[in-house]
Amino acid sequence: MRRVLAVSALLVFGLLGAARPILIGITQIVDHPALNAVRDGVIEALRRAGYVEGQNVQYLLTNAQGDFSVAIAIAQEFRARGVDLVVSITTPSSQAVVQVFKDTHVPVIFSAVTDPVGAGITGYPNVTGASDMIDVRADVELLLKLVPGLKRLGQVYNPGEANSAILTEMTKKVCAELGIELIVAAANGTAEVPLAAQSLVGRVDAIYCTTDNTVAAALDAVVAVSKAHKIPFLFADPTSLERGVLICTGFDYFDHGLLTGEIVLKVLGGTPPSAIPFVRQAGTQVWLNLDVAQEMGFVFPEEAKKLATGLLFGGQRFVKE
Amino acid sequence: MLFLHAAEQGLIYGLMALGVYLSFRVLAFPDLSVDGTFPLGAAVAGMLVLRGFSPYLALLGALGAGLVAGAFTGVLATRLRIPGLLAGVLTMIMLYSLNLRIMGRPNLSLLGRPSALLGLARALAAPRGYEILVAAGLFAAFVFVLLLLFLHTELGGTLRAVGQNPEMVRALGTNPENLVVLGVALSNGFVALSGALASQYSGFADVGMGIGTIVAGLASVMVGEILLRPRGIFSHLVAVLLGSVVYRLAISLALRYGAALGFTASDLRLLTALVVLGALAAPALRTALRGGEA
Amino acid sequence: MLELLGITKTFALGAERVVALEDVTLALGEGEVATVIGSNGAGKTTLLNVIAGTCRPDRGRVRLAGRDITRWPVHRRAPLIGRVYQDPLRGTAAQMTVLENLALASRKGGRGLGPLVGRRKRQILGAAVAQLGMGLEKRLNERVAHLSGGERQALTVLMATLTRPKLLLLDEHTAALDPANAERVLKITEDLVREYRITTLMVTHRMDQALAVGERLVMMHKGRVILDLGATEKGRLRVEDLVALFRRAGVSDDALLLVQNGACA
Repeated sequence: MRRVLAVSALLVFGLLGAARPILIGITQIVDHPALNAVRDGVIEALRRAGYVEGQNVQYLLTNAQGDFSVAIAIAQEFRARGVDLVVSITTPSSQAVVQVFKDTHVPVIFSAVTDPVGAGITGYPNVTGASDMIDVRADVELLLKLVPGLKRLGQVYNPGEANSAILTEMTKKVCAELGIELIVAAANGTAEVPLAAQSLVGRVDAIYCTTDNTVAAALDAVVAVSKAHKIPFLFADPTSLERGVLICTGFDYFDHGLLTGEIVLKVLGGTPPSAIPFVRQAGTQVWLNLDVAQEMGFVFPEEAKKLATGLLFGGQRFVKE
Repeated sequence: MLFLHAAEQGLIYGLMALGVYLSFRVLAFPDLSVDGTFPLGAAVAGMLVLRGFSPYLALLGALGAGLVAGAFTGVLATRLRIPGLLAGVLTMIMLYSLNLRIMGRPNLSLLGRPSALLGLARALAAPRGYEILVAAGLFAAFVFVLLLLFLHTELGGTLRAVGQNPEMVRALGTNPENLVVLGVALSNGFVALSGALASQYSGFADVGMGIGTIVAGLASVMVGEILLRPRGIFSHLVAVLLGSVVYRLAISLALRYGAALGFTASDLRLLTALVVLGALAAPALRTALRGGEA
Repeated sequence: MLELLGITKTFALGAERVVALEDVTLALGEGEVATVIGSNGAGKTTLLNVIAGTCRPDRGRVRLAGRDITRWPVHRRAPLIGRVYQDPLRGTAAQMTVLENLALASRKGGRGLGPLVGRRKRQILGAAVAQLGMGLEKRLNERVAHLSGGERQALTVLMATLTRPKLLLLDEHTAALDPANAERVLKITEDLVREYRITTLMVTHRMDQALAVGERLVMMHKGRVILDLGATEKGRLRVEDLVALFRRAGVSDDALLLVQNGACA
């Protein structure tokens, strides 16, 4: 009798062990549409590969609500819970996770970090991920083609955002190389974006904003200035086209999440993170908003139109063949 | 594990809470500049470490920066007669830009850099797993003793009197305004030191890491007061550190059990507040259940 | 010891101008105790404020122990002047202990990093407070907030005289106490002032007190000194005489309300 019980117990435990879902902790610094899109992309990528929540995978979804000490507490909580893998979204959350997990074997996959090297999270054997660094040079060159005679470029950004500050530095460098004058307007919070945008009026031939979260949150203000004063505006987020932006480049953060998810799948499949160099999001799109162009009385050069991935016309998106 | 991390953070942030106690309770000066001096300490210490200075020297630098910033707030409030609350806000706003200048960028990575916490722990041969706790405990104890001794000196006693009866201090021949400047300077020195330690603990310094400091500090002070009902200075200081630990514990508990109770990730703040509320209500509930007055 | 020469203070009450003090001239010798009496609005408190430094006169000079202190800030005069207010809460730090309050008052001027209450100080101060006869020497470690109004006021008086100031200013300091405590505090005041020969200016609203205490009587009305009696004349007066003198000076019973304007009234 006792032997039957023992064997049954072993069987049960064995089954449970085999059926134990993989525990993945996902952390982000704030609740934000772009960051949420990354998170959703990761989960979707895993779902497509057969990982279903509740069955073979369990997610611990957290966000630090802007509090950096909480970001650390979250990372510590993940470690205490024995997660099998961590996905960290944005620089501060990634730094916190790496600080806690750097001497472990638990894989850490970062995402939406513009400058992983600068953030100090590269070089660890269990850490890899995806950088959302946009191609600033390509954007500025595109503007040069779309706005003939472009001499002065304006940029609104939040100097307090790590990702954004790096991109603005890059913009400065690229402009210097291309012989364009860059005029920046700083906004420390969403409330200051309208004023910053206003300050560019009459001083610039075009406005270029990167993946700055503050600008993204107050995008309508910049769009309003662009339309009212007929200043061409390029924003590095393709999902914002319908909000009145003249030119959109970049990539969808959901796609960035999918890309991150691919890395997660590779690691889950057995490839060690040390064998995966971090990737940069490729595949920049170019969207031209013909409706807003009409409103503004702006005409895209025919040659330049060929560079577009797609157009917005009559409220509808048309993708080029 | 849960308690360990809460205790570590509680002690590190406890230094900040001691600073808030000094300005808010002892001097009766509501000082909002701490939201700026906390990351100031992190920025100064971070830059010093990156330039190759010892992490201990970096802490000293952070302390000095905090003293200066606090003195600035004090001078604004006393000499320029700017209301205390506003003076603190002005300093905080200025420090935001200053911190960006000091770091040169909004975020500084200190991962893998020398840390005073680890250094101290190794020097003391602290048991594995408890290194940070021991080191943090030591720093907290150091500031604790310093503050305790200071408040019992003639100068410290007069400082305490300033917060209760500045007119009396004036009548005793000391200018209370000078003491306010001294007290607010000291307070921010502690806060900056706390920020420096926190950045070495987290592995990075970020210009945004000060947001919510005053809230955390006040919460720690008040939670400690209600839990311990301190009578003298010693018990008050203990209460502040205890409150800080309880506050961090509340966050950890909310993180651990929040999901199980049906809360989503965004409810963290609400949950933390509920846990703190529970801690505060417990003594009152206990007394009510016994059917008597405390 | 104390000389007031032509002190005048006017301040604006909306559109009107109120004369708080008009050409007040007064002199007190060392160790002399004077009572000041007058109706509300006579300028008594303003006078004390001018002497203490919380109010600057428009004209006139204040001299103390031979020095012109008219322009001195409060904390500079403080080592020379002790002051007790009507409100028993005003003279002490409520959350600090009896001993700590006494220790603070035992040294005027610079504050160092030495311990506030050492063993020797505890003995000396304990002995001093025992002289009050209120049993406070047994409650040295209690917070002042737990003391009664009378005890707090007695403590304040002791604190104000601890460093033997050149001048003691008493601003109706028994007015807020019940009769028993008022008597006790008054007696303590007289004993201390006599023992240490402290020049004293005591403002009171009670005629009996004004006559019983000290060897000088100063009566004020509408900012002027209308009566200044020396020991002999004062000794002959009774309360009824004082009331008659008041009526003759034209003081009506209607109190003239002086606006509480910052440091001056």
